[in-house]
Amino acid sequence: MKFTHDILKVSKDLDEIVELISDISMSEKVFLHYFNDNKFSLVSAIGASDDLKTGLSGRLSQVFEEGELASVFNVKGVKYHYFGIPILSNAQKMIGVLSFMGQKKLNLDRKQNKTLKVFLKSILFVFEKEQFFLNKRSCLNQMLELNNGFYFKVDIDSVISDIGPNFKTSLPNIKFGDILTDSIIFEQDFDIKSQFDLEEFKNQIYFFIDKQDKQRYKFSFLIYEGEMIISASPVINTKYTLRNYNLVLNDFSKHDYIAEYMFLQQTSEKSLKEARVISDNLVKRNVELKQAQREIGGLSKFPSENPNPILRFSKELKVVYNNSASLIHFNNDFKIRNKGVFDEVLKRKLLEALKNKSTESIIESRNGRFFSLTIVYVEEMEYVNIYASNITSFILKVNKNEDELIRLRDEMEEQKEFYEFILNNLPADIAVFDTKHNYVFINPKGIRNKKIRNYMIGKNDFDYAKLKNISDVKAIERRKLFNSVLRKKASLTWQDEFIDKKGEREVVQRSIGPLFDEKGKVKYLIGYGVDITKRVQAEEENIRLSLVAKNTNNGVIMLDKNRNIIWANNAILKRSGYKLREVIGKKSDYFTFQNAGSNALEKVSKAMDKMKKVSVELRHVSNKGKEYWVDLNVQPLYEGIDVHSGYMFVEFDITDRKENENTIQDLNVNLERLVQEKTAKNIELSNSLRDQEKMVTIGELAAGVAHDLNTPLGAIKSGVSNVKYTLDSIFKENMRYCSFEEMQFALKYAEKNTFGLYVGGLQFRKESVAFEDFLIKSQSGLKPEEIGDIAMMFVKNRIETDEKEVIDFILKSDNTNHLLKLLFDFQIIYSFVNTIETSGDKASLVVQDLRSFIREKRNTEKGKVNLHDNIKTVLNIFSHNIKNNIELNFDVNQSLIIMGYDVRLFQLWSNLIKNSIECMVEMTGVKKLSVYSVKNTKAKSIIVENNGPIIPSNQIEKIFEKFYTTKAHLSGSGLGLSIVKNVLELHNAKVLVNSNEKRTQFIITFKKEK
Amino acid sequence: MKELRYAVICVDDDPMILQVLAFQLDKILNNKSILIEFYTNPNDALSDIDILIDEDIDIIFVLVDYQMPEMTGAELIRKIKSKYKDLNCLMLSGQANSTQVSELEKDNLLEKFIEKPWDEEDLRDAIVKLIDTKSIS
Repeated sequence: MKFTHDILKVSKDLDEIVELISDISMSEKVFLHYFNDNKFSLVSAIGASDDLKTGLSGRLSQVFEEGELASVFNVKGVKYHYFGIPILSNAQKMIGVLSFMGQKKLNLDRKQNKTLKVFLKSILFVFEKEQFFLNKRSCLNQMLELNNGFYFKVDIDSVISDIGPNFKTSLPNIKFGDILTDSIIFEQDFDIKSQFDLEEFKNQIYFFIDKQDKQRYKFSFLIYEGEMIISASPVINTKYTLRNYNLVLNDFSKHDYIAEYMFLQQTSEKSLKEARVISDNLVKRNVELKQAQREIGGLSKFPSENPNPILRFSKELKVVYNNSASLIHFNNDFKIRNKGVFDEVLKRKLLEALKNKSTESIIESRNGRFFSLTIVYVEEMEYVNIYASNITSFILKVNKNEDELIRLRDEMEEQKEFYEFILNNLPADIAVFDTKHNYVFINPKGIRNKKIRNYMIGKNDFDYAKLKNISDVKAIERRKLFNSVLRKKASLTWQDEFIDKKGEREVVQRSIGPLFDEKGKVKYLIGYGVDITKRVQAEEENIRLSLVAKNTNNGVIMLDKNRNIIWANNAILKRSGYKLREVIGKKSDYFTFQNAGSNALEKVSKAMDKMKKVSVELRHVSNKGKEYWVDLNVQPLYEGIDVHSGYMFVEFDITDRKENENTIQDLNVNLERLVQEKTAKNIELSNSLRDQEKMVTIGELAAGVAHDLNTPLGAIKSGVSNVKYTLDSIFKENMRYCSFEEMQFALKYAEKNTFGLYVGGLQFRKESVAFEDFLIKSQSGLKPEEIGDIAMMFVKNRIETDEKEVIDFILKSDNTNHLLKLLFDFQIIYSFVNTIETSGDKASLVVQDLRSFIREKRNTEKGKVNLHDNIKTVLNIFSHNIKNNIELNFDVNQSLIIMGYDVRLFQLWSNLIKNSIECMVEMTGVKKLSVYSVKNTKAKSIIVENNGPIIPSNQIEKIFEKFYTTKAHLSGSGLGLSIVKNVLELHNAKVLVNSNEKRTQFIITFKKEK
Repeated sequence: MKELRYAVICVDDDPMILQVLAFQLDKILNNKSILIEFYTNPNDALSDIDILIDEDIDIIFVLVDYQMPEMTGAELIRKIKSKYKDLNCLMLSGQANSTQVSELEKDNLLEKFIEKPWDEEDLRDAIVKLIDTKSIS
């Protein structure tokens, strides 16, 4: 580590301190190390030897790691005690170590310790100072290196102690230890030595050049610790080129040459400008000069006659000659006397001209007069001439014009501003066009976007359409209108209606009109549009409203604030009979309320006072005396939000309602009376109804019964007739031919055999043919022509080929034919007699059932009724209807007993069964009727079910109503199910109807008896 | 046996009626060339009608009862008429006021309606008219 001479000074102090420490600690060997940059450097030592030094370094590291350290170590077989104290900076950073070594362990008393602490502080102080200096120094060095490679460090005698790297490159001949001033020349008498003496530091820039004047540097300096640090920067220009410095641009610190460049640029720009001005002026002056010269040339021939002042001066500035023109104002103005020129400016100019032997043209003004002077040096005589010309009026005119122009311009500007302000703030969009339909002016309402507005000046609608990328239809329209206005020289007004971006309707009134110039030609066209949407809407609204008000059947009266009538619609006029002019101006109080009760007027007045709505019913009398009633609604009217403008009466005609109310009251009274009467009648009626019911049921039954009786009766009838006929045939025909024996045989045979008399024709024929064959085979002995008929007869008698005895007996007869016929007759008789018997039985059964049905006696007492038997009886009655057509399922438990009236129950079942049968009459397919029982712990149920059509759910209740029938065409009474209902009530039973497309059930449930 | 050329068909689910009819028709017709067929099942009747017509036998009339389990007489007549529209159909019934029957009459499908119980004379009158039109020998 290098110490500067300053630190060397300091280390002497350190030596002293270490010596003192050694004394007071009575330690032979004391070492002081400085710690910096991770290195320990020995600063001072007492009693050290090289051997020990190596052992020390280990200890020092330990102290660094662990702090204060006491340890023992060996050197060359000798045991040493070591004690190390770290020296810590104020920031608790280790900056040094104080080490003690001896063959005896260090032992310090209190006093010694205290003293040691003081010494440590001193050491610390010294070290910190050194740190500071070191830091400062290293910073400085770093700065110099980084920022500027161009630096020298010299002492007071200009001896170089450090050279910056760039200087090494640029001025390679300069070496360490050289005298700086041998190689460079300072400008402006800059002297190193004297700077050292100066107390103040001069913040200034100095310059030096190298001996060959190839390089020039600007620099500033700093005196630091006895050194002058010169920080320089090369000057680069056309003389001192980059090449001179043996450097390239990258060698310069960037900010340096940027600043340089800027400086250069500015300087050059400035000088350029200046040069330009100067040259301009020069050119101008030249022109003026030339002009003046020309003028003068023309004039100067006769100077005495020249209206412009001409003078000549000697080089002492004495007037040699002046013409008469100069006497007017000029001499006075410029204070030209015999003795000389007393106008300073002129004097100077003249002297200049003399001195420079030159010509100059100037313009001067004195006392409100302007002169253009040409001052010319005449070499031969050493004179100087002045050719002047009074340009006052010209100048004044120019000024005046200029002022005028300025004023005019300002005025116009003001006006323009004023007009623009108006135009820009009108609620209309305004555009001014030239005759070619290009925009000259558009106000902001016309085009909101300033850029587009400015762009459009000089353009037309087609350009706008292109800009906005919209169709040019509107542009074409506008062009047409424009041209028409241009042609006719008259304005046009029209209305534009369109839907805006928000989808709302807008109405704009547009005009284009011509603006004429002084000659009466069209110079501009001005077009504007005013948004009249609201007005149009209001107008339309008004029209609609007035139509409504006029034509409504309800009366409308408008009142002003003072409750005078200002308008009434047709309905009011019609009803009241008055004309409009009779009504307007009348006080509403009188007109409206004159025939009404006072209550109504009071109520309405109060409401109107409070600005509230109100309704009252009023009586009116028309001017023809006709009475009518209205429902009057009163409402206050407002304009805007708060401004009360009047009232509105709306009258609804309620005359009819009033009349009806009266009528209804009357009717009510009558109705009550009627009801009383009818009720009495009803009671009478219901008593007979029960009897009627019974009759109806029977009546309905009768049809079925009649049918049931008809069949057996018919059979009997036809049977009897057939028997009669056959008997006839027997006695008149066949018996005659047969013997008694044969007759007996026939009878016996007929009696025994019960045959199905008739067989189908085809089968009959088949059998006949077969029998014929049989007869032929059996060699009956019959004649061939007879066999066919005989065979047929046998078959007719249903005698089969295996009945040998019978066949033989018959064949043996002489009257086989007649015998066969007789046999047939007997068989017929027996058959029909059977039929008659059977039919008779059937008929009596039907009557029996019917009788049991209508028998009165069993009606009055409640008894045990066996449901199965009860229902069976009914089914028998309907047996005919059921048997042939309907699949009957009768499955009622035979032990179901209830307490009830058996005959009434007949009514119940018969109605249900009959309904079932009748509902299925028109049905195709298999008809099913089921009557079955369901028993559970709570109740007994009988279900009458058919697969007939559905009873719609909305009819299920109705069907039980008296007189409700769907069989009116069958003369249905409509009482059947109402009878059922009555019987159910009597027996404390309920009916439930379940009906769908497939089947309909009537479920009769008898509650279990307690 | 005489050649069969004509037939009459009777359909009634009650055999008793058929028996009576048989006796009466035998008396009335008294002609061996007319086949008299009896059916309790209308479907059998239908199929036999087809066969007979196939065999070129002239069916003079079909007499049906209204109330039958398999189908009503009206339905049967409609079925017959849809195939053989010129075939004479008569109905025999205890129910005079069926809508089906009135429909038949409206549609002109029913030759005669004979109410049960009937007189032999009624039957004779109805049939003889038909036989005469056929001019049977």
